[in-house]
Amino acid sequence: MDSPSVILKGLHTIINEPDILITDYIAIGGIGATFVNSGMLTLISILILHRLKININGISVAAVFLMSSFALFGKNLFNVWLIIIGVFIYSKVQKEKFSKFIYIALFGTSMAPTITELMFFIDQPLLIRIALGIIIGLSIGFVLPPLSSFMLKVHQGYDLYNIGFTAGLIGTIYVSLFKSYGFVPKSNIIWSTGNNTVLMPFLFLVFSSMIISGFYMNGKSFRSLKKVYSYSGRLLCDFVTLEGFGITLVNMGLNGFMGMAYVLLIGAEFNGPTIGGILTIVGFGAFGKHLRNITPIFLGVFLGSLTKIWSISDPPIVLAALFGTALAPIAGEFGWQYGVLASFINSSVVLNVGVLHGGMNLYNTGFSAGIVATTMIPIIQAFRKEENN
Amino acid sequence: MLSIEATNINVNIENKADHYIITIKSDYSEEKYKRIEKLMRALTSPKTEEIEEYYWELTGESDTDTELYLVGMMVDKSEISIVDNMLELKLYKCK
Repeated sequence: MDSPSVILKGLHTIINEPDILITDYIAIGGIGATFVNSGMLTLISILILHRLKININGISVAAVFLMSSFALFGKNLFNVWLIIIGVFIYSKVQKEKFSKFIYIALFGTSMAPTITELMFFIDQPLLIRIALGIIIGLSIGFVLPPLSSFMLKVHQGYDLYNIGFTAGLIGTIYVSLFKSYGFVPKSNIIWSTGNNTVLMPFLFLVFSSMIISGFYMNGKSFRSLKKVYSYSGRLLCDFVTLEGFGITLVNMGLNGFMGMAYVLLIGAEFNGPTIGGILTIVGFGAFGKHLRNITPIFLGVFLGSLTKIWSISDPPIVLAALFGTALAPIAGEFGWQYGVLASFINSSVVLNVGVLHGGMNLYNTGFSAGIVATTMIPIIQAFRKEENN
Repeated sequence: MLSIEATNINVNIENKADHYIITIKSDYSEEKYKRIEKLMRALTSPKTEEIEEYYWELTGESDTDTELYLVGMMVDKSEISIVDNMLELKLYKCK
């Protein structure tokens, strides 16, 4: 793809440029550097899980894929560590093993752009920027464990990107404080185009190999796929534990093809953010998502495009559909019509909450999905109780 | 238990020196035997501390999901047996 020197230069650019939403690393660093960044973060995540002797299950797969996917547009080899160390410090203060908080640490790197912004882009002397970056980064990691656990009660597990919801709130508070001191993050949309002929075959190969491997691991059958589809997807829905790794791999591959098909159908580009969105759907194919509960989400965004002022292929809307599958459990539990409605609403909410955290929370759709789920679930359940009575 | 049409449920909690034992005994409907198999699978999930630490707040929050797999991942040991048409669950949780 690219020579080592071009990759190194690209990695340097990726680390030194702002990472706030939406920053496509393919546009700023090139395909080679972007995929090296993603590959290395993936391997490091797997190594961390291995060293902590974590048993690999659905949530492990989701966590690793989230690192891979967001390493295409926001997380890099420099900006993820302070948050992870912050979680580590929390575990030591609580006198608990760090391994108990590992998923919170990995998922929590959603706020990695904050570190880059503070260290490189505020108008302060170098030492102050470094000190601020360290303090803020560590503090984000430190508050994430108790907050993220608590937030699960708010949406009751119907927002799969719980950390996105939590990080959105944390980011809102931090950015409000930053603005009070004159620092206003600049939003941008950096979006590469023209790479479909290179990236599509790569994705096709990856997802095909998942389906084929899963088929063979599952005793050369697609047995249990129907059972996978019977789950609502609400947290905690670990397909690896529930139905086995083989059929989970098949499910992940099918989810990948669904994501690809959606991007192609709407005429969008395959780039860092969209591949990131597809890989997130794939990763959560081990932890809640399947074709039955993600299809209504795509449909909801499509219906929104028919009546709202935006186009379905606008970059933020493409991501709203791909990442809006965080609301898949609503479709899975209550029916496709509620999934469509949740997605229809979310596609508007997601466009308006990014300003609260200044684009520093990469899981912005997780934040908006948490707001939508928190609002919709009590209402749906109240009417359901009335129907049952 | 209600999902297996239990009509007589007894719950006992023992507070031992270093662990708790929760014992649940109930009758069940033969027609719901498949649910008991699902219950057995769920409660014998391996204990997973990292999932317990993060997701424990989800327990008891849903009207629609029994969250049995989460419970299975949170307990240290579980024993399930059927004796004389009575289902007995024993869940062990270390302090």
